[in-house]
Amino acid sequence: MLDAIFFEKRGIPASVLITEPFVPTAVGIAQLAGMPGYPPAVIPHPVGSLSTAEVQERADAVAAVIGALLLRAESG
Amino acid sequence: MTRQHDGIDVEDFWQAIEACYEQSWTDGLPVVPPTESLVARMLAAGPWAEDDVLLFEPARNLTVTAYKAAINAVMAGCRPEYFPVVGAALHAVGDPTFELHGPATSTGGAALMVIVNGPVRQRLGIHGGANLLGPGFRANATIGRALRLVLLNCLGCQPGVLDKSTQGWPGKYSLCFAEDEESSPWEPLSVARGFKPGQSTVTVFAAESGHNVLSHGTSSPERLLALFADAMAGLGSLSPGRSVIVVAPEHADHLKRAGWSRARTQAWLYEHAWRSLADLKHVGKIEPAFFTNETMLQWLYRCADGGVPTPPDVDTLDRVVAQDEAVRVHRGLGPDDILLCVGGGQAGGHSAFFPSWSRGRSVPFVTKEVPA
Amino acid sequence: MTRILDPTIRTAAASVAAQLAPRPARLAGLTVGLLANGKSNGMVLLDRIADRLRERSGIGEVVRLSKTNASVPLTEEQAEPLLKRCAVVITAIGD
Repeated sequence: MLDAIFFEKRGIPASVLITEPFVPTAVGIAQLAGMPGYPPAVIPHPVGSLSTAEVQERADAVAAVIGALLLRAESG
Repeated sequence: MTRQHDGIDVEDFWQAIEACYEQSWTDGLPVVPPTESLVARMLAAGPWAEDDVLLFEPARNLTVTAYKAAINAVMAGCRPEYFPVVGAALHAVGDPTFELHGPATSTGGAALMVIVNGPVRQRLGIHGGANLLGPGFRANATIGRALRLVLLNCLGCQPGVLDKSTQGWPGKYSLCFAEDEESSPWEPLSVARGFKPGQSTVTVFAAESGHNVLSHGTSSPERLLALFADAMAGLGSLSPGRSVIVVAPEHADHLKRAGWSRARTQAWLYEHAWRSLADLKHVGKIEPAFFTNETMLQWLYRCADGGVPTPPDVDTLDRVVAQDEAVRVHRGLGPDDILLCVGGGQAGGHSAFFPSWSRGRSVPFVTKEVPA
Repeated sequence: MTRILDPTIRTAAASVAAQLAPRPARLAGLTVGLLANGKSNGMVLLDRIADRLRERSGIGEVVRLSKTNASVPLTEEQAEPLLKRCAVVITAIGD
């Protein structure tokens, strides 16, 4: 979370991937870093123990969300 | 509570009800005005602290705390003891695999179906018998409603704004019921979903409007299930998505006496719920967007000799060719896409089939434990 | 007089939106940074997301950086290649 916020504060849009159990911590970190509500992209836990193919499935499922978080929101 | 919470001050309860309408805080029906004391009581009935996160919606960066959920649960008319079930349901629809953003905002108009299992049903009076899908039961009506109010009020799913449903359907008001485990020929749904007997759970599903499956003429499993499969194969909702079947006790009984297991029933339904590719093309079910969508192409051609035509030729996919009569397109991708539960009155051969939201794969079933 | 509580949470999104770095309208052609924090499978995840973004959005070059220690915050020196060259950055994984 902090690494992503590091870039945001320097004017570079950043998106961070976290796993579900980490959400409350991420919410807290954003608050403490002075960016309450900063949105991570959340995927199911675990990731570290998965095979390459399984990790790639996770990536496929979340790619669109990452793209959206990095772009300017459409109005309306 | 010592914290000063945001809200509006009103003279009396009539004004409070109207104020909630003016603020667009309702689902169209009047809500119970959420006072500090009512919300405090609701919150106290759950295991969560005020700021605990019950649901995080990443697409729009929205965090629903226990506090906000409690306000909406009060508005829905929940008794405080229902709050753990509401929280479990929020936890379920907030599961990353459920990808709530889709069902909550697409044109498909999904209702959030909540199926409850375990001892919590009796403890709270969550109804699974006659008229379980209809009005008249406080727990059913208000738990489901609390979910919808959270979507409306916390996740911004206001119709026309973020909720882009073309038509929606009444299930969106509330769609919560108990499985009638006692009338089921099989293990409880919760156990089939991997939980231990005796655990209380909620299972959520993004549902389009249901089809009545009416049969009073047979006790043969194949004939009965053929009728279900026919409903499931309806072209209007045919997709590679999931299905929920709420089997009436009378129908469940036929399957029980014939000794059909849950797995066998699911497999039979999957095998028999199909239409030919020609049928789909005749009614314009094939959209240009499918031509570049791997999932849709695999779904359409998984039973075809030679698989997906390579390269997928726009003309071929749009135009009926002779082989298409023989290509079967099944509802869903396999028997596990069909969830069976039992519910309804003891008398009456009326079961229901609910297709999943979306023309595509939709989102999976998610089951969570209800905290004590 | 009674107070009825606000069931909505419209404020949070608005306040963070004001602080976020300005976003581009499109990802096409942009140089994307991938920052792995050193936890298992982080770069595998990022590489695959980059592949998907290349297919669907036509992103440009990719600059990859791996930290050796997830818990040590990024320094300006470490981040330099990304800061200089990237229009957007994706990081993983908090788990």
